Amino acid sequence: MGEIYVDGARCQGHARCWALAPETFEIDEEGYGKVIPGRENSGDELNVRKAIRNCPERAILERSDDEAPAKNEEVATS
Amino acid sequence: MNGSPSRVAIVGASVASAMLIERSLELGFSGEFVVIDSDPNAPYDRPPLSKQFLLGTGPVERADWWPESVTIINAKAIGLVTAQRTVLLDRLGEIQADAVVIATGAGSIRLPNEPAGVLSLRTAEDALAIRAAVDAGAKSAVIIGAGTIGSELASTLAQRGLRVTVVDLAQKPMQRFFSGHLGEEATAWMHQAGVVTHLGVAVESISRNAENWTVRVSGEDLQADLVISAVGARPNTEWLSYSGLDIANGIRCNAHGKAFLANGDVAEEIYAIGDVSSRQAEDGSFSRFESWTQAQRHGAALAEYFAGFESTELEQAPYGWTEQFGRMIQVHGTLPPQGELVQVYAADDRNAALYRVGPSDEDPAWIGVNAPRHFSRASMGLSLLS
Repeated sequence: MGEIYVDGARCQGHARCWALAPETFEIDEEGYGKVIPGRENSGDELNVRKAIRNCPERAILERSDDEAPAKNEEVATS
Repeated sequence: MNGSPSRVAIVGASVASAMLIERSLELGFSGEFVVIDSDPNAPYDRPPLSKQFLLGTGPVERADWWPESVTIINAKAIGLVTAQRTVLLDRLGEIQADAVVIATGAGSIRLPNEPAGVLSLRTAEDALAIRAAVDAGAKSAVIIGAGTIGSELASTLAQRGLRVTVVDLAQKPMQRFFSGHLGEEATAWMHQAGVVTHLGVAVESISRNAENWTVRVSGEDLQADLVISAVGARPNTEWLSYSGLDIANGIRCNAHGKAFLANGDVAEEIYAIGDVSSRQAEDGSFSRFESWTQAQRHGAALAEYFAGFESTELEQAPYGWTEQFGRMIQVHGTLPPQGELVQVYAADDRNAALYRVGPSDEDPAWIGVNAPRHFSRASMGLSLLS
């Protein structure tokens, strides 16, 4: 999986990502989340998968750049 | 992947079924999913329909969370031959599979004797009809039902400049969502936005003349250009009348989502997820939630069950939310109706508050209003400081 990020246009401030994976996400006073710098490649971790699945706005996305591994190389580790 | 079905038919292109597919693919599922939905707009996001969608002008957007590799057959399921795991369609024949997953959700309850032309909100088509009526110049609306959908609609239509009246038999707005708590607060934020409330009253009649609609409540006539019925939802199980499944209130299922037959046996390889499923608890009782979060947890849990995992998805505390009147309202846990409500944080300049609701301090439920940070810390069991 490529680098993850929170799409600020979609995020509505539920702060679910932070509640489920506080080691990867941080939130501001209004609940808007972002990925803690240095944690962009944690997308395969169990807590982060959970946060991605539980985001009511589906705002946690994977950056699709040329560096991203091909889809079929993705390994489910959970 | 022990015993995992290789061809799975899913009825309903919902968040629950998207999560079932997504999680299955993540876990290495190599079989085939066949998805059926009668809604021509499916798949789309439902939560925005009562909010942002009515404020905008754009078309219904296809949900980008739908797994790209899975196509949706646009047909209506009209029956299930349970023993053969065969879904009968109104057109395009029938679909036979190793497992059938029912995710048909819930549909609007309509009032008895509700005249044609009364609007409701469940599908994208419903939302388009409401938006078209407002765009055509409606100046006022009576909303019957002060649940989360009715309250969100009141908020959005007031924001669009309509004079809005909300009517409910219940004494408090969102009585079910809040388990009876925060009634005065919710009524006050409606009033602050200019919404008129008639609570604790029954609708006696709904009629229309050439000019407008009249809704009669407790002898009083309320006139409006629009009437929207938002009195609740019931599970979409009519099409299962002859399936032999137990559909007393939703499809009764065990903890994994395996459907029960009316005779009490478990149906082989028939499952139900999301709002349509009524789950059995350890004490044997059944309960059905209408919840986005619960629906997608059902989907993830079933994927894990198919993959032979011990799933922990459904062990998480319930989470629900509503956005209305400039407030993001979040609920963690199950609010005890008789529980004591204690405000533990407030910031009046932001209309923010956090409430603890519980019989004890050990496992309280929480309500957050514009307080996502405090709410999240509380629901994680952390102190409220920092």
